[in-house]
Amino acid sequence: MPTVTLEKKDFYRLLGRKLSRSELEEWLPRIKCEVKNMEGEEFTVEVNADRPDMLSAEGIARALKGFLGIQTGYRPYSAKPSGVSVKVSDSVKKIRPYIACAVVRGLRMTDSTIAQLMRLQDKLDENLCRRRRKASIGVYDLDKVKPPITYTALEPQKIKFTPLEGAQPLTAREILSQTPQGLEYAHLLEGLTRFPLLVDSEGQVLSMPPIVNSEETKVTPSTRNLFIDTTSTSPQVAEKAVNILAASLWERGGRIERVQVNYPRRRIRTPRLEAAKLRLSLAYVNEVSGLNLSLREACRLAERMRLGAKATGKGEMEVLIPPYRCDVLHPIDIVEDIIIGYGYHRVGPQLPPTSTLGRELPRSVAARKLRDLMVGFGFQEVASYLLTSRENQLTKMGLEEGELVELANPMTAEFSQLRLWLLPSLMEFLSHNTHVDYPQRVFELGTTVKPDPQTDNSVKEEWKLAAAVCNYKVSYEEIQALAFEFLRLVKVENWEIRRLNHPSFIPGRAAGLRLDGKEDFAVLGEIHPQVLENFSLPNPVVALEINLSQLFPEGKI
Amino acid sequence: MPSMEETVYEVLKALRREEGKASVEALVKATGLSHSSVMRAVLTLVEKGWAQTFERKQQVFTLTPEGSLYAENRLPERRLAETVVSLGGRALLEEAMEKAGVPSSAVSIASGWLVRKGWGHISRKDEEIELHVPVPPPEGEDERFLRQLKLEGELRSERLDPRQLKAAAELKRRKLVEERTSVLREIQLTEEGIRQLSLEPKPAAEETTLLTGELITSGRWREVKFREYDIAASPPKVYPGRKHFYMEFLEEVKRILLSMGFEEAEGPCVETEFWNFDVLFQPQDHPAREIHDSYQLKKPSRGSLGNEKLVRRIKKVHENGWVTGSTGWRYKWNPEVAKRLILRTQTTAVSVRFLAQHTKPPVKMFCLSQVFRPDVLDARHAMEFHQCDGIVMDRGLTFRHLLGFLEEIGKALGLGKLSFKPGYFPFTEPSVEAFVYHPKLGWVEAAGAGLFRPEVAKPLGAKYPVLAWGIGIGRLAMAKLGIDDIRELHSRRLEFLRERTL
Repeated sequence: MPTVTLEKKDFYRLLGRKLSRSELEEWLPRIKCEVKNMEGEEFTVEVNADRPDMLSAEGIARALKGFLGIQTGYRPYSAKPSGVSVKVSDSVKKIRPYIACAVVRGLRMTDSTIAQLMRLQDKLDENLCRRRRKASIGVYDLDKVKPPITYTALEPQKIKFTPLEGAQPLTAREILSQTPQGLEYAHLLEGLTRFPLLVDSEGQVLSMPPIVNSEETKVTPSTRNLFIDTTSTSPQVAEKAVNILAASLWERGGRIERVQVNYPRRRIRTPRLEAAKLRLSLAYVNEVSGLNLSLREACRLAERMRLGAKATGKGEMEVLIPPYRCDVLHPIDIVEDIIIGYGYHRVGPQLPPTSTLGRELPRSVAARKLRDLMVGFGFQEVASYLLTSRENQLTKMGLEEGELVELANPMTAEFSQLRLWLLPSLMEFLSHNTHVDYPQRVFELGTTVKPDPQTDNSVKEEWKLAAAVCNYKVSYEEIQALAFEFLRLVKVENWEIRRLNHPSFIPGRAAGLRLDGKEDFAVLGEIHPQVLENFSLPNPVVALEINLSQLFPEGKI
Repeated sequence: MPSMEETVYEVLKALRREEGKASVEALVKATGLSHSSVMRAVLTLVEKGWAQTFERKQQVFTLTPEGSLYAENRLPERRLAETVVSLGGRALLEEAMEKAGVPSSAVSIASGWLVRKGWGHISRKDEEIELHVPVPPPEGEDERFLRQLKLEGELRSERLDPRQLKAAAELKRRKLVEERTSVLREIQLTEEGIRQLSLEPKPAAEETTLLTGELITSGRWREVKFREYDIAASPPKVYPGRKHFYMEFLEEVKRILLSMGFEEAEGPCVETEFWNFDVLFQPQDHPAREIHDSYQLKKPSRGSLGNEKLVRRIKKVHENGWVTGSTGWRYKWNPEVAKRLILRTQTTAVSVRFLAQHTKPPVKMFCLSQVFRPDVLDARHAMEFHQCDGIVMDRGLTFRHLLGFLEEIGKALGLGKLSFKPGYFPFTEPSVEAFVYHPKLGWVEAAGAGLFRPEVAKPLGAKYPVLAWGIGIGRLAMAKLGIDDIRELHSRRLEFLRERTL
């Protein structure tokens, strides 16, 4: 979950009141935040991923003001035209076709507020904008820009400007290969012949989205007026990001102004700060929540969450959703807000009358019986991971070929494939215990996975049992006796045994078991010394693996 | 408790059995009385002048771990020698070692002693070493000593003859036997003590060790006296077959949920993104779908979507909300992305698969199984772990009922009091996180839950509210079982599994 660092003094000023640490720790979790760290003059808050509008001191203060009753309900925003316009060139259509902008005037910036603004921009880039893939935000000193502005895309060789914190002009390619932002985000421009660019009427570059802004238009403590833009592949995200930034600056006393965005075939004005309206019936609120609220109460709770709300009669309410909210897709989202406003701690759990009978999967019943059986035979159960390696499954077992289900993005080679059979997992287990008291008798009951083009998920997941005995001296007879008695007890009859040539076992000491001439459902035998050596095992092993899915397709024994 | 007089007499008798002289420890063993009772009795005997005490130092021999291994499985040179004999009196060293089950680390020890003991000799043949042992060698004094030591646990120098002492010294040099000095307090009968004893009739019977079938059926057992065993000597270790402790814990959780009326379900570990994400209303550009947060498959890499009606609904619900009253995510939904195969990241995928098949209320289902997330395995992170998900669908269920269920499950699992906070999951609304208080860790998240969003429930055909919850069962197990390292849940250490108590 995203975190945001706040300055105590600044936060309390925005809130209009001081809170103790324990008050913060009590209140913030009730509105989807959590205090993670509090040291000196700062504290870090974790914010739920659905509330990007709360990724700033302003946003959290705004929400908390409502919750504490300092200021509730929805306060409409006003925005006059700024006279600034942005022309969108056709060339961006296939790259990042949408742009939303805003002008904010009359700010008094300090190093601290600039730092917070940059942090909010970063957090939005990271979350709402999906690491700048979906959208990216630029904030500039308006007085260093000569509108009108053009949003265009140019061949990289035609782009040259001084990137933020840079000392001299660099070409687009140099920016991608030499600056930290370039290195981090270059992959977003991969394969493009033209790079997006914002330039003003005098050819001064504002930014090369989604990589970096120019040094010349940088925000400094003397900045009073801001120009904000978001370029995106989604018109909604572009506008939401600008709304969140503008609404945050509004909390700091900024005056928001609209920018005219001229697309080739249409014109819009952003930001659009009108609240969205949504009608909601009280019955629905009570049906979902299980609370017994009156219309008046429901409206009051919605206002506590900074929504606009009024009763419209006939048991309905009209809710105004602030323009910075990104998480309201359905009336259900308002119901949650109302319950949050009520307080989760006050809701009061209630056990429903729903009466049902518990039912276990036949396979779970069978698994328990089989595990009991194996324990009775004196075996210790082992639990290995499904994730393993080709080396473990094939190479070390003396097998050259075999098709494994393979990960595209493994973190380590050790866990890069799904296991095809269980025995290698047992061998691996034994190899970690060469100095432990013998005899060692181990078994595992678990899932194996193999490719299968016939199924919906292109694999076949099977249920198997493997057992192994490692001792100073072992006998084929020992594992054979186990297999035969096991099969008798699970009522598998009329199987045939045949000699098996299997590289994991000593030639002449391996057997396959099958029914009606079908594929073997079990293999058993004495493990080949080469395999023992591969696993660094100093003592011999006899082992058995049974495909239970093959024997009991329904899971029932 | 026996009277003082009886105690004294028991000790006196024991002293006689030990031929008039015994240590306190021997008397404790022989009488079965406590150490303090024996000491009191001895004091009485000394006071009466029936016995006197001596203190004497002596050596005590015990087996080292390696020694006890060899005592069990015989000395490596013995295994090697007999293997060579069985191979016809001569064999290549390497082959014999392998057959004898002697690890290569012990090669010089085994062959060295074999030669030194004069059991055979070594020759060189074409770069290879050949061993010759013509006949099975007789049991050596050292082997007998090991055997006896294993049987008795410890041996005292006093009871050993010079040959045995020599064998002990040799075994000590081989680090198979340990020697320590022990002070022995001995009690000896005096003339008067012997006289007192002679007033008692002496039992005269044959001592026997083994009760045989022959003794029983012939009835001769009536005539023999059974030799008393050292009933307190440490026995050899025995390891029972056992279930894995973590699997046992999972079974217990299942049992609790079954008793609450939940029906068990399962689903595939290799899952299409469709069931793992799309059906759960996670937009196709959701961060959880990126390579940092889910394992994608290389081979095979694509599955198929099947159920066309559901696919159409999911497409619409993502794009414009379909008939659910939602705005949807407003982007172009791509079926190709939905076909990508991943390792299931949440067991909620099983819940929605189940819900698609069971639309008639009431539904109460749970799934306890593995999920996978890209992570490097260490003490706190695992790439594969267990999750437990459940759903309840019925007429008239509410958020309050959800909290009721969570509290009930928490109670059944012994979690203590839960505290509820707003949470966020893309597929539930309202969403809640339940925390429990852990004395060491503070507030710990125990479960995430919510009502399935209309965008999730409706396309599946669910007409009534669906309560959904998920528990990170691995973390819960760690807290309950007192485990700090998540890897221990799948421990590869046999000793760890054997030593865990119930």
